[in-house]
Amino acid sequence: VRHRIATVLTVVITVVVLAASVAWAAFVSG
Amino acid sequence: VIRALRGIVQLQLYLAVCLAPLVFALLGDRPPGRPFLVELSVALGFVGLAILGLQVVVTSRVKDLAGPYGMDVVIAFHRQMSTVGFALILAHPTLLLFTEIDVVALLDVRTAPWRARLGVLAVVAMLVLVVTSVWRERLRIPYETWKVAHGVLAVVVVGAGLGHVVLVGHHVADPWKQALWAVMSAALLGALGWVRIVQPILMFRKPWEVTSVDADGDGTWTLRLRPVGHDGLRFQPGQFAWLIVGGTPFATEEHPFSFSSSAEERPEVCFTIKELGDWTSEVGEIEPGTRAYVDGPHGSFSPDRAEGPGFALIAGGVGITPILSILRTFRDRDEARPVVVVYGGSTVEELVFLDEIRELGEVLDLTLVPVPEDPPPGWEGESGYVDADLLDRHLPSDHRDRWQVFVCGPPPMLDAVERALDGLGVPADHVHAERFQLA
Repeated sequence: VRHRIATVLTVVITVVVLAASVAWAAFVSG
Repeated sequence: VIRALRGIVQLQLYLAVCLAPLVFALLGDRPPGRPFLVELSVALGFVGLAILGLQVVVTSRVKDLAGPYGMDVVIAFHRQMSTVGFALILAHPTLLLFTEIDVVALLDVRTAPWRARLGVLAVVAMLVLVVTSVWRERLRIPYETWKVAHGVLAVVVVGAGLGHVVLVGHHVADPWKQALWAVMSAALLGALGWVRIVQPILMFRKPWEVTSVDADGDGTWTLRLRPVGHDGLRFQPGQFAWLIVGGTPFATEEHPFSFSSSAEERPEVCFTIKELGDWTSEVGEIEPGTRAYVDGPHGSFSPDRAEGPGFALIAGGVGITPILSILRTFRDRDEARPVVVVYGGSTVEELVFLDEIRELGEVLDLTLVPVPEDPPPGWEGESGYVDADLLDRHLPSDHRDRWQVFVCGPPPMLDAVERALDGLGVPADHVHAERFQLA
């Protein structure tokens, strides 16, 4: 159960960095 | 609440470092834009590299993070993030396959320019690092060899990745952008150097010696250590330390254990360790005179950090060790405030130190509630599980909300007791929990 803390953190971080990467690439390439 | 806030701040800091390369690239003069897929590939490479750099920081703080989150959670996070970082790093060249860049030519290390060779080196080193970590036991790599190789490979991955970024140079052309990258890299590598070189040297200069190994019953042993050539350390009752017995701090596996002796009894310290099938099953064979190293104290599980009119100490099994230290320290300090000890275990035999705790009741205002799951015939006390009804019977009815409660035991027990205390009106910031240190 406590491993869920790690999984939640990993998922949150992954989603945020992926979204930021897409937004950054769109901005820089445009 | 404080724990949650600290967690949120740590998450934000982590994200800030992950995204720092992207922010650096937006500052000042920007190079002309390239196709979206190229830039996305670069973004993923940048973030992946930052995550791998941060892996070092997560492990360098592991000894402190292990307190609030639990060792297993920190290790699980480290492993999961290495998968994410590796996936992002692999996505970088993969995405470039779908652009006009001739990636295949760049992957041929015989003819490729150095910027590409370093990129390939980073990926290959990362692959070796992941394989040797995930399948270390199957590959029969000794822990000591792996630990040293893991550190070296981590430096190679991050170093080669940085070299690749600098030689490509697209988003880091400005000298001051390079300076920002250099500062961040130095901070991350500094963390690794601190953990793997400076801290072990400091420990090496303060050796300890095992003076006795005593059996406490039910596969539980107490190691007594004395400092050799230095003053030892000061700890607060309930705290833990990382212990190395035999071997050196540079390569040997360390294990976290609670101090079980009184904090007022210096300079010797005791650790009480239960055989649990791993490294600990050989504790009883340790010879007096063996060299040891102690890294500590760590953790905030201590009544010295929580004021209240009384204390409830709730232990499950070998979770009694920090509580023993608290009780022995209270004895040496002539503590006058009331203490309730609830001590659960599968059988009475598993409740080691029961006699000593009873004797401590002669000098302390102490109520002892042993709770065997499976009581012997004729047992008249409590039995079964430590649940809300049992706690309600033994915690004081007045000022209950002002007492400080310390719980140490296996995770299912911690969860159950925390829920029960919440229902009994004990505020969450008065409940201090410490997991078994199994690592």
